[in-house]
Amino acid sequence: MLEHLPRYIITAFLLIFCQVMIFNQIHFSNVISTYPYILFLLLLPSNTNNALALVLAFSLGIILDFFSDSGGMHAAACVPIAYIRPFILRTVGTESKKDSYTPTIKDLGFNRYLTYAAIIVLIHHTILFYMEAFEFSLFFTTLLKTIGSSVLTLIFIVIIQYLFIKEPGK
Amino acid sequence: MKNLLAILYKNHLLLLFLFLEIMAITFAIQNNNFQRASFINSASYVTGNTYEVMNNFSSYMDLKEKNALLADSLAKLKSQTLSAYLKKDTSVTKVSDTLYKQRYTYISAEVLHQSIHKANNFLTLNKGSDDGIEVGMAVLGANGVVGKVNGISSNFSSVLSLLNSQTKLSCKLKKTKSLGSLVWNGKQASGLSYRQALLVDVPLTTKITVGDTVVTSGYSDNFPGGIPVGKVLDFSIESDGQSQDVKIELFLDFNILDHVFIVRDVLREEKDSVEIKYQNAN
Repeated sequence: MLEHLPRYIITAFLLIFCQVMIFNQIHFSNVISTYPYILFLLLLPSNTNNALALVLAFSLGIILDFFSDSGGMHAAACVPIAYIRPFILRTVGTESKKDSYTPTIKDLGFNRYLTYAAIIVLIHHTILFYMEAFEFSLFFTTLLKTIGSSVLTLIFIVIIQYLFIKEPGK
Repeated sequence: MKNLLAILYKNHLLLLFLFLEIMAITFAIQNNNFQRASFINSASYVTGNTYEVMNNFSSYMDLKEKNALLADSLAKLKSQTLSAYLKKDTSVTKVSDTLYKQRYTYISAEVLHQSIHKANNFLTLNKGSDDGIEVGMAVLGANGVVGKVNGISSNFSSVLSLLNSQTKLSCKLKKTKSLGSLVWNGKQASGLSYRQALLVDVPLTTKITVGDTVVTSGYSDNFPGGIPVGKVLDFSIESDGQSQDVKIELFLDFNILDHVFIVRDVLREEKDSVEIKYQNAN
């Protein structure tokens, strides 16, 4: 983790910037919005200290909250995914022989990566949108919103992977 | 004690998770209850500045639309200048340099702030004494009268809007040429909206037609004559039976006003000095 620190700081900065300036402006008929900034949490190396991951997730969420006027909603959605991420990574498995790897499409393979990302994006969006709605009378509208937005976020995450993320050390 | 510490250490991840999560949810709920007073909002310094940058960017994206609007108003103005008209009277010597002397020049300005729903409305413009603005100058929009400058600083000026109870502008009906004063009494007097005004003191003998255009007479300080102001909606005899009141619809929509022209009367000093010398002598 430490040797990649500058790279991760730049990634976080770029993702927050893109989220606030571009992705926050994308809305399809008030139903679908997209939050690809959580790619940052997806990209943390598999052996990241869990406590550090939690703090990073909380900070990332709070920064997004500052820009979206949403109190602590993003933070509340980011912290749980940092908590369960190691379990999901273990369950999904890897082809990599190294004991530490960065969860990318190259390291996990496309199918595994998609499963991993889809679970995390779904959890994040579910918490976020249900906190935003804050009542269960809107259950189905929110469900629709969650699923639609998750699909769009996943698409963006995969595109960003192919465009920008290079194998570390190459 | 040792055991307690051991348990705490064993579960430190779960505890940290619960601590952060509860903190985040508390923020979120607080924010729901007290939107503005909340701890986290976009009024803070950094995010405020970021949004300003974003606003600058998005107003840049509107430029095309704004340019079209400007070009439109410019075209209208150009078509009103003398050079757009063909001069037919051949009996007059046509050396346009001496026949026409420039009397008014126009300075364009942007509206920074304005009100339209109060009883006394004002505008703030982004030009001031540094740009040659003086108190008393007339302010025009693309299709009508806006008001009169009532105060200046070096970079900004305040304008007494036409929608103000102090307004008194000399106007005339285009067909009959009869004079009246344009007033705007706000909502209390006659339920006038920001698109309407009243022309008072029109002589009883004048025949008024609905739809006739009202233009400035040129007698009011600094306002060029013949600028269209509005059209006649309705008229009635004043309560004292001496004159008529004409309700007019203003051409200018103050609600969407963003660029105005300030009129500089080049010959104002000369006119004033003549009036002071020969009319106020005794």
